[in-house]
Amino acid sequence: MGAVAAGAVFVALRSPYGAGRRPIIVIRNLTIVLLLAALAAPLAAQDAAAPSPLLFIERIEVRNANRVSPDVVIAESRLREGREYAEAELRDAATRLARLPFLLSVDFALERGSERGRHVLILTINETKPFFFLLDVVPVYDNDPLLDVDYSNDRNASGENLALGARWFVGRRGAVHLGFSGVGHDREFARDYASFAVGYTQYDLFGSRAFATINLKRPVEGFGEGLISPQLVVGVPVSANQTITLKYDETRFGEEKRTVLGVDYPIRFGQKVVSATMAYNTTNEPFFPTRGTLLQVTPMYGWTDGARILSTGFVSPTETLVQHSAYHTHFFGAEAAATRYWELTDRDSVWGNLRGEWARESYNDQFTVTELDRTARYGSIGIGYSHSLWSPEERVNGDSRFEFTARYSNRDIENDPPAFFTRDTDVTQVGFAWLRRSSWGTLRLGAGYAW
Amino acid sequence: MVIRAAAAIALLLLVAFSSDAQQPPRPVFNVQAGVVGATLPASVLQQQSVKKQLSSGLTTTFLVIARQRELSRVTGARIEVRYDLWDEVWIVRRVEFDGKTDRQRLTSAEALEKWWRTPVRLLATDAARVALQVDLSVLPFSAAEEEDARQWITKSGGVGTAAGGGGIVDALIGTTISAKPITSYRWNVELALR
Repeated sequence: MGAVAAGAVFVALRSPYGAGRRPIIVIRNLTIVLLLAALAAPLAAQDAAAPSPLLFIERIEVRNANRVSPDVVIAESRLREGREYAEAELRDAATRLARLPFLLSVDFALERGSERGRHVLILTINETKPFFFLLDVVPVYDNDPLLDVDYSNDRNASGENLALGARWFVGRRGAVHLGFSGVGHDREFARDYASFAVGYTQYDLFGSRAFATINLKRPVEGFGEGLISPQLVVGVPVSANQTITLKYDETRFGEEKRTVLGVDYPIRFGQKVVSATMAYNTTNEPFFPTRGTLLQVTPMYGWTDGARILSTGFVSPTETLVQHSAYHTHFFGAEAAATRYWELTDRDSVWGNLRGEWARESYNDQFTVTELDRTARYGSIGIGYSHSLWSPEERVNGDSRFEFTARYSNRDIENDPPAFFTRDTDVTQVGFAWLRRSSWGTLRLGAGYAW
Repeated sequence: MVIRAAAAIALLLLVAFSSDAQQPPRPVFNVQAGVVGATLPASVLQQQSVKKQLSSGLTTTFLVIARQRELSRVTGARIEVRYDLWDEVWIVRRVEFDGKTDRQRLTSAEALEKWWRTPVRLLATDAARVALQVDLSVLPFSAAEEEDARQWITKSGGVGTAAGGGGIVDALIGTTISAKPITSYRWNVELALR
């Protein structure tokens, strides 16, 4: 499980993944070629220069902003006053703003500027409420208690299944948030812990359009009493669709005592994970997109330290052997995901997703002679279909959709030196859900079956 | 009580049926020398969301995709309309299925509506009958990525280089842009060409 934990929800809820022009071209064109091949249509090169010239944007004005800071909206659009933009750049900015969790929709329009050829760009926004929730509950039933169910279809961009909280904009470019987040990413050698969190995000850091979020989390499940744990996230948008997100995440638990035959043994645990996510995102929604591409690659490094009782055994009727030791693990790995969403009609959308992960962990305690290494591999392919119950006109206020999903995944673990415990599992699963997004939050309720 | 409930249900059904009965505007199709054209309904331009986009000073793209149901053949056309805030003219362009392009600067909304009523040529066929599914998507912003796309398609095997093969690239590039459709329409029609 990932070490993104509680704070991640606040970062991911606003996290803009992004895309640069050159890599986009390849992907976009691949899509075009696939589309054209599917259509089996003749093609011709045409002279078709767009009728839209470069537009000089003298000023950017945000309208209908009651709670959201206009400066944050402008910063997140990555547009700047006093520059010329092609419509394609404005369109990318519109798509980027549509992915912000605190906006339901944004309209772009131009007005005349102070002199001929100059324009005022009007961004009319539709805000979400300051309180938000994200509830992604799709229990998966199976006929095998040992089945390693894959929850990748809980595919909202934040990776979270549960979040409750509130966000207030402070000053021109800041926002504070507090709330609770449930378990998120499912990684092999690190995990999330449900936490309460309070944090602050500074947008447009040093005028660079980057943002930084600091969270203080308090885990509420795991190894005992959670301690205040810091998380720092810095996001650097490289282009309207491409973002690099650096993350340091720490999870701390207080020491507990475990008593065996009158002797107290200290039990401790702590985890630190550093990761960098490179994301290319042209999707149209922050949580359950219907259109666009999302590519993410995340290399990570982490380590855990703790102390635990390794084993307890009766040597004789009067003597018990307790193996207690401090231990240390460190791991490195990478995960990657590619998802493409297609809108078949204005209500129907399909998606296909590939996910992969590779990670290697080394473990030692005072009883191990050499480090124990474990290598985990994971791969999955998922597909889905969703149908909106609302017309495009109604969807400026959110969405209501039914979704059907299917996924096949394989996960295996190898031990070095070889150990008794190995794992190699194939899981196929199907599910359905109802998705609802409104100004209050996002809901995904359903059920699945795995075998 | 039962009568009231029945009346309420009947009223609901009436409302539901009457809203269903409100058909979307239909284009007028015509055939000339084996070429199928469509005159798009002017009411599309009057729809509130479309009207709002047309007055935004940004391009509104009307993407028409025609699918020949028996042949799985797809062709299309694209119309782009932008109101120039400073010159106070409508800058319009129509790219038809064979790449024929028409550009105009129209000085009034009436002129725009008149130009809009010119049939858009969608496909050429020598069949006696064609069954078409025609989709019209109204998209904000222009389809400006086409140059990159066309170059790449051209390089990737020459499919984009043959002249006269139909302007499907120009017509369809619009479907690849990430702008959210403002609205869309679908019509099914069967046409007798002879």
